[in-house]
Amino acid sequence: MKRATFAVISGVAVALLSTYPMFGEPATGKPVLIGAHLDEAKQASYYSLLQKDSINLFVKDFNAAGGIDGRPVQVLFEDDENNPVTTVTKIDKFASAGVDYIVSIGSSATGLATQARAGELKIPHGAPANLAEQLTTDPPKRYYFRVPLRGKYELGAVAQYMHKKYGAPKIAVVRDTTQTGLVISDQWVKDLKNDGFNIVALEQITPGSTEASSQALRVKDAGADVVIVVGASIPDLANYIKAHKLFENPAPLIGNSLFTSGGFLKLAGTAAEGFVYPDAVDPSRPEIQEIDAKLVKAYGDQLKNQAVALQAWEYMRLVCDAIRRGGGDDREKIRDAMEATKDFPIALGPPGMTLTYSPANHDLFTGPDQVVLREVRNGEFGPGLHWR
Amino acid sequence: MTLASMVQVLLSGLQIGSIYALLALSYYVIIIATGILNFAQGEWMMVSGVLGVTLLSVGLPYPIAFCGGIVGATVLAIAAERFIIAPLQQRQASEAITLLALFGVMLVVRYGTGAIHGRLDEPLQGPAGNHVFRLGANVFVFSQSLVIYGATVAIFAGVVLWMRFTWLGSSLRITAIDPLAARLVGVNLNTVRTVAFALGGLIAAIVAWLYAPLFAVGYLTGAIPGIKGFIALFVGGMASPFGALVGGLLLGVLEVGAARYLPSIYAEGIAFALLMVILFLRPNGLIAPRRAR
Repeated sequence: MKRATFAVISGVAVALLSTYPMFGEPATGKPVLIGAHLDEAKQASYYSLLQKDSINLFVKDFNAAGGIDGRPVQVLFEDDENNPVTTVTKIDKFASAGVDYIVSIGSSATGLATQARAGELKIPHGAPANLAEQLTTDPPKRYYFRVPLRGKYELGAVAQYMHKKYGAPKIAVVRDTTQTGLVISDQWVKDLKNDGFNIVALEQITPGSTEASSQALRVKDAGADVVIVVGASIPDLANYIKAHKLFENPAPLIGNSLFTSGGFLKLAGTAAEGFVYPDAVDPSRPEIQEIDAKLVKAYGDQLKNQAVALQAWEYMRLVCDAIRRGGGDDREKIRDAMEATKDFPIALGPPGMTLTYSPANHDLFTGPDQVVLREVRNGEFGPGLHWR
Repeated sequence: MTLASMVQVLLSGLQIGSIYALLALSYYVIIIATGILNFAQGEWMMVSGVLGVTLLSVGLPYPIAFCGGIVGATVLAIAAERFIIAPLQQRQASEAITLLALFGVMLVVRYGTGAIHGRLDEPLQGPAGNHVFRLGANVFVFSQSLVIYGATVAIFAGVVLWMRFTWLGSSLRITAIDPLAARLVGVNLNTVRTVAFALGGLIAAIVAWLYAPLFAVGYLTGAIPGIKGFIALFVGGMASPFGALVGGLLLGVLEVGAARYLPSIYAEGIAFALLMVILFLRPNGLIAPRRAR
């Protein structure tokens, strides 16, 4: 009886093992290690975790398809607690573990800490979604590579759009009190003034308030032709947008790229209709639709149409390709391979966009013409606008 | 400064001010009975909202989600008192240690909720829906605002009457005046402490259903209203529940008024500067204890 049971179990095991290759040739052997630091629980966590999910699914798919020349990719995640000092200790931990590459999926502040420390340790690194302009220097940091929108191109695209559509509009800027909101709005106001725009109002939403009628009425009184809404506290900014519409202010609303958070559409409701914002992603691209479908299948609607998750996916694809081209394990060769990336087909930006790095450029986006502008339509983040 | 504009400022100021006032009241009932400043009040509010959203998302009827959220958060408040504060008090821990423990509770609840529930802010349907009543071209009031005004009056009246006409409420007041004397006349201070934490938690839990429909529910939702409620209590004074009411409403109207009539980038700073002047002139708050006058 025991022999019979053993025979049955062995038969089933052999049958299962023999059918496994039908699902692909999975990667085996010594794993290629990649470190990723993220904010697990604090203010940056909502976009950190979206990227983490995307990276995990990408790695699962990638390894199932053979990994890097047959070696599996393994990502070591560390919580940076949204704290630059903690981040530095995590980078040292990655270095000790022997990672080939470090990916920053926390806030820009922790990304800057990574840039400094990983640069000292000569570990190639970068970010799929860190926006801070300071991350790009001239010449670029030797070991740092990224794919997100850059603040100045984001604003550049918005400025081009406003000139084209409204001529020389009077502009009101509405912001929240998050550090992101203050930094971005200061930069945008300065750049818009330099670009010849007339800023007629700068208003700030009281954090945690139940509505923003005071700010909406001040903007209406100022007679702005266009209202720019910037920041990272979506509930505060959604309250402004609702008040703006309630007071029947006809001025169109334009935001920054952080509005792609899924929560915005739910919180602003019908007031979000017509809201225009810059993005790194054009959902009308078939490649984006394919990745999006995989993410939604694995994680549900919370990952649907999330730009940062799509950026993380594409960044990992780029990093794995560079590690393969660099032969794996030699950080300097991987860095060189990353910098030598030329005409890499990437699903970010407008259709047909490719990525080319060089010693003078470690950014995907190199001008406002590559920025996608999208509009909220029928309660959804719409496809890229054709306005140029 | 038109009449319509002033009416809107008043309506909006009273709306957010009521939220601050109710949270101040939730601090008040604990602090007078125990001397403990419970940092976690904003978190009970957040937990109530998050539980409500979760229960609604699994298809439970609104009244069950409403009750479930409030009961769940209140039970958590009682548990924090029973399992953390009570043992510390029995071991005669210093005030600083108790405060530190409550600070820890606040962080664990806040970030624990974030880890379990997720970090995205979500809307919470209000008990009266999302209707808007236009009172003029530039004046409006939400149906939820009317719920807020009504609930504020009802809760304050309920707490005042409870403290005046019930044995437990009277025990709370007597303990506030003189804990030693209260014990001599048979008041069980442990029971009073538990009741105070439960009542404070209950009020904060109810506030979630007033506040969140006009803002959002997320793991950080309790942070700012929690701080503002605390400030409102100290501005209004701790002589009676009316201190919490006056402090909250004043803070709300000042905030909204400053944002309307001054550049809003300075509004919060100006509102707080005014509050500091008030505290300088009346260090015990606007409604000061009789002996301090």
